[in-house]
Amino acid sequence: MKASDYRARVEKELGAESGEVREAGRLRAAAITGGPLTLDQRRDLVRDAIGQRGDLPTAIPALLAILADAGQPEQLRTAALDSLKAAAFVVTAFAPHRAEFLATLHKVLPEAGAELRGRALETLAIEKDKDAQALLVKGLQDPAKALVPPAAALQYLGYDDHGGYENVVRDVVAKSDDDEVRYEGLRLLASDPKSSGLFERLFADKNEKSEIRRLGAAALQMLAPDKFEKAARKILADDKDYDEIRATALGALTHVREFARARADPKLVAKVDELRAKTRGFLRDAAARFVQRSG
Amino acid sequence: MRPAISQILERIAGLAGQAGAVDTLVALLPEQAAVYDGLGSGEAERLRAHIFAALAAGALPAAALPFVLEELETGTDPAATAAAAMALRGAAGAVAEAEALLLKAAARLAVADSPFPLAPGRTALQEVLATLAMLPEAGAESVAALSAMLAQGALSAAARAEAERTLAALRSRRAEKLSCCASEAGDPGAPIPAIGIAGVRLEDQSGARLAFADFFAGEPGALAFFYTRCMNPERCSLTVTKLARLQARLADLGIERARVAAISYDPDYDLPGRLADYGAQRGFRFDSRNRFFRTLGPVEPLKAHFELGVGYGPATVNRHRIELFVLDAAGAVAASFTRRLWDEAEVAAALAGQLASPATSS
Repeated sequence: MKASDYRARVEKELGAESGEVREAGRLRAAAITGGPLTLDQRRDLVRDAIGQRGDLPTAIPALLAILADAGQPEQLRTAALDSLKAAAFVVTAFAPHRAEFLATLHKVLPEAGAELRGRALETLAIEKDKDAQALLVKGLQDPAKALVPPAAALQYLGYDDHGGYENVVRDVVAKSDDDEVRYEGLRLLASDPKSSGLFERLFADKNEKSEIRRLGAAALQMLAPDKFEKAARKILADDKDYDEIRATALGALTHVREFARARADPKLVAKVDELRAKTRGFLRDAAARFVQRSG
Repeated sequence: MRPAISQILERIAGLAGQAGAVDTLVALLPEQAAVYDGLGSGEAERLRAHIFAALAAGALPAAALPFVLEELETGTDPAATAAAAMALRGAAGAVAEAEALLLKAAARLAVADSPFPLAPGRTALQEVLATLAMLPEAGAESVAALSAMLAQGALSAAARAEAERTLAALRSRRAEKLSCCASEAGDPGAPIPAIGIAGVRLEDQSGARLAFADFFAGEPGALAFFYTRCMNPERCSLTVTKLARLQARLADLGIERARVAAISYDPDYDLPGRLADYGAQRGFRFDSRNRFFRTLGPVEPLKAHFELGVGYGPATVNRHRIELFVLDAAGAVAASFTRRLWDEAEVAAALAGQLASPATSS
């Protein structure tokens, strides 16, 4: 619906409504058309539009009209999108507008500015929209066509863990030297059993950033607990490795499902005792927790 | 190299009007068809929507009907559900359960409606309602359900208009209730011997390892397939919940001898702890006769033996059907319940029949 059509409808309806409802409708019409209000005032109106559940039947069409209108300021349209996302939590009230909402988001993508485009794309990705996912993949493979930065694209693809984009993501992670991109890509691969070898290498690699190694540890523990245990013991035994990573390894070993097996290993227990006696800070604390759980 | 999904969809569109097109389309429906290999689940759903839409151009072949009904019953992709509804319009004669399944699909879409890309300007719910209007056997049940849906006021203007048109069409003709056949239980035919898979190595939810025949030979059992990452609550999660109900029913009938088991489609991810948690959270009681498994090697031997309806993307399952098999005391398939939601009472009765057979009692 065009903003002018919406305004005409609201004005027609105002004649038949109570004073309170008439005022709410007038404010919404003003938010769309501007009137005497400043942009900040209009944005506040849009943000407050769904404050009352009873407002939703009139507020949602108004917000959709603002979102769809390329002539409206970007900030106002972005605020409308945020309010619509909040309204979507009231499932029964939003249901009549859901299809139009999704169609509007698609219409917004080619013409919106970066902020609104990114939010629209993310919203569609959360809905597991196949066309939105295809656009994200295209952008990762050809940066000239990217609608959002690669780290954001990876994050959005991660909303669908059945999307089947692991091969694309593995390729992006291998080629990128951007830590944020690698981190988001690895997060997406953390539920992919075929990536367990990659996480094993990252966890063991002393040249990697600590946050990447910690992510590698968490993913490996989930995907291949046996491999994780082996790698964690090796790291624990290596006095030249970083305390932070060793503490991560020991902390995870303390909470494995098969803790009895770890506790019964004299070599591991001796090493933990040594760490408790000779180290400081979080590594010593981790050793103390292991001993405590051993009883 | 596998063609891109866009190329596959172009080929499907290119089939229109060609000799043998319907057979080609039907051959693309089973999840294990090569066309699904390597697709993500979204791509698999998109492909399916296009296949159903292409089938909607003519009479619906009988072989495609179970796939259409399955989609209406448990599908979660609005476009695939809408296209299945369109395909149903070409069914020859009355289809048992069509009305109930269209209403079930409409109820799902009433809160999750989406634009239907294969009919620009229309939504998935509109297509389902339009099919209901054309269904000769739709009657009082649909009138009541649509009236309630309209009274709730939760439909878009377009869907509301479609629902009103459907309601008017239903009211304008005499409702005809046709009784008909159709059961989701497959014809077991001749038992399929389990010899080829007797040695397949399995690991159960506690980490114990054994061969297929070690568990499944000796007593009859019910075997379902599932995976813990399944996103459709009406498939794997419900299957395991129903297995728990089956356990209770077997206990009530005093036939706890029967084995109840499930094997994961996704053995690399479904490690023992995950199997145990998934079952326990859905009320499944584990003991020596009631267990969940994953294969220690590839799942292919079981896939081939049971002709499993499952397809795989790059990382996990992209689509699967519901499948449960009743095995005889030799571990061979005695009855199958596939694609549609199965009934615990029917499975329990099939198991009771196996336990009473001379081969088992002797």
